[in-house]
Amino acid sequence: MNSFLILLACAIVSFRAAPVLAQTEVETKKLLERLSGTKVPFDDARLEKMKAQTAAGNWQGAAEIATSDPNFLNVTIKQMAQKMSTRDESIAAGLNDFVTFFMGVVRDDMDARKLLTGDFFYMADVSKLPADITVRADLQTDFVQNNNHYSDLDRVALDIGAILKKESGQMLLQTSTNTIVYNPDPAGLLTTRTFINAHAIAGTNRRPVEFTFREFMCLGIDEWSDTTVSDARIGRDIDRFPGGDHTKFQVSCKGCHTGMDGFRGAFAKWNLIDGRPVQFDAMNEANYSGFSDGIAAKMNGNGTVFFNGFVTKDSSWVNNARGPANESLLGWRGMADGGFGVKSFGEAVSNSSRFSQCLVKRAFEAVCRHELVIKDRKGYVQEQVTRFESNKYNLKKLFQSVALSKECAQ
Amino acid sequence: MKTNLISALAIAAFVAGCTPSEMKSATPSFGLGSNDKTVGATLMSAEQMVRSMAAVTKTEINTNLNNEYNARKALMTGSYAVNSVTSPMMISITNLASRFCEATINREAALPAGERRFFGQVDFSKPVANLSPAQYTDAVEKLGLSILGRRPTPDEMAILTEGRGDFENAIPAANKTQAAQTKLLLLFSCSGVLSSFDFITI
Repeated sequence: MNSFLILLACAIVSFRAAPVLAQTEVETKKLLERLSGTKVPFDDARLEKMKAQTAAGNWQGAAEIATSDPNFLNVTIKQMAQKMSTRDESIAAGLNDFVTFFMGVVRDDMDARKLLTGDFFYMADVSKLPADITVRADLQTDFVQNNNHYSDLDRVALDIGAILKKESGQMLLQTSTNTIVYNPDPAGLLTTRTFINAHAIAGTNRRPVEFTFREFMCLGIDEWSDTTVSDARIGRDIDRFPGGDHTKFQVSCKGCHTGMDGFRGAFAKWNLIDGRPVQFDAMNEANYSGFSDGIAAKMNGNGTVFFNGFVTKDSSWVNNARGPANESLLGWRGMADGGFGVKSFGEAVSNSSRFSQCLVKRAFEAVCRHELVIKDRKGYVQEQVTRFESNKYNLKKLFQSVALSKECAQ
Repeated sequence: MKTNLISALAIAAFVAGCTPSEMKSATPSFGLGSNDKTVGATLMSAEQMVRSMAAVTKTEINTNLNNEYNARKALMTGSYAVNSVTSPMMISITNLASRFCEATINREAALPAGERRFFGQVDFSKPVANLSPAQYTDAVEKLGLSILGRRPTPDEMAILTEGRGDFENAIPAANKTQAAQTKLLLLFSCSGVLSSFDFITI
């Protein structure tokens, strides 16, 4: 019996191809599977409709049918966003406000730049839930203070993409009055509870900058490091003589810190207190715990390491990623020299050409399931970026375009 | 239905030395302009697998299946990397697959033969010995078509047939006339295909 099992197991895991479908049928099925992120049977009713489109030469029409599959949102977009939502970048992350925000922007054909600038959030329309499913939906206890609402919603039996509804504003808890107030500095995904929880916990608020670049510019910190620009914004907590050697600071530490520290002022009024995001201006309390003079205390922590370092006094930020090494890499456009708060930072990032390139990479890797190295495929990436931006930053169309490209199959 | 046999199948794959890399190189592909799955084959996540199982078997994810998924998903996910496959992962996937197959078989058994997708030639009221080789082949081919998008190869079919023989030989004499054994054979065959490496990669 054991030998039988071994033989059978090996046979089943190594099934060889014996296609019975015509090439067009195979390609149509593959297109649907790529965009939905799931396997479909050969007798799926939508394949006939897609074949009718492809027979007429309308592959775009076929791709549109594929993106209308609920799993395009519930699997492809959801998983891509899950991976971007947490520090460990795992697809095992559960549903949260970051993920549903992403799904909503795609579903509602919004300009993708809203991902970093939008002043709204998505929650379930409870009237659309099946009668036997209960989802906690108290704004204070189930959205702002923890993830209850989204945890309850995270069921494979639900078509989550279909039951999400957009709500204006982003919410914070004003603890002095124990009421929900609007976030005065809303910046889409960057000011979701999930993103702030993941990256503003402890630390020095450099991580939100690092991960903004990592997730939305597809750049690790070492890739946009630049030692040739000013170090005037580098905080007092960074040693200028590490190991007694100023050269090490100049050729190494400075490269990353000049960029991060320049931008991190955008998050100066943000902190994570008792596991919940706090924006100082929303608290209406002069001496809020965790803040000093209206600035998150951690921004100016360890101030004796290098006393002449930069002291953060407001939410201003300056763009130190405009040196020769980064100007063409990042492709800043519009108001990108500096600003105040996270929203202006999100606007600068989302208007850069690198943001569009990064979304092409994200879409490509989500549907084509292999890596796209931007610098190695510049021509292809630029072609997709041009189309994406001319389509008003429509993510659904970007996914369709990428899935149809011949590069996707290579 | 018991799923011990199905779990054993997954373990056997690893005992036999069917490592992920070997599986990958032998796995076929469909692609837009390419039939080479060795490029870009990645493991599906737990959610992709459960939704795919539901799609190819056309089975609604009810509370029982949802609960089974919740109990298994922690072992089924974490990475798209093919080399992240582990034995506990394969067992979890196979167990979940067996639940979908169980639902599919029970659903089809209650339908008139002409309305079934997979088991149109199976008489569920008869012992497994009454299932002719041609009828069994028909069922396996239809499973392959819907789940993998292709028919099993002659080699695979021969092994499945040989497996069927071993399965029947292992049935205690007192149980050989039970019609339930027919369902178990089909559960075994369906679960194997639905948890195969070809299915769980995309």
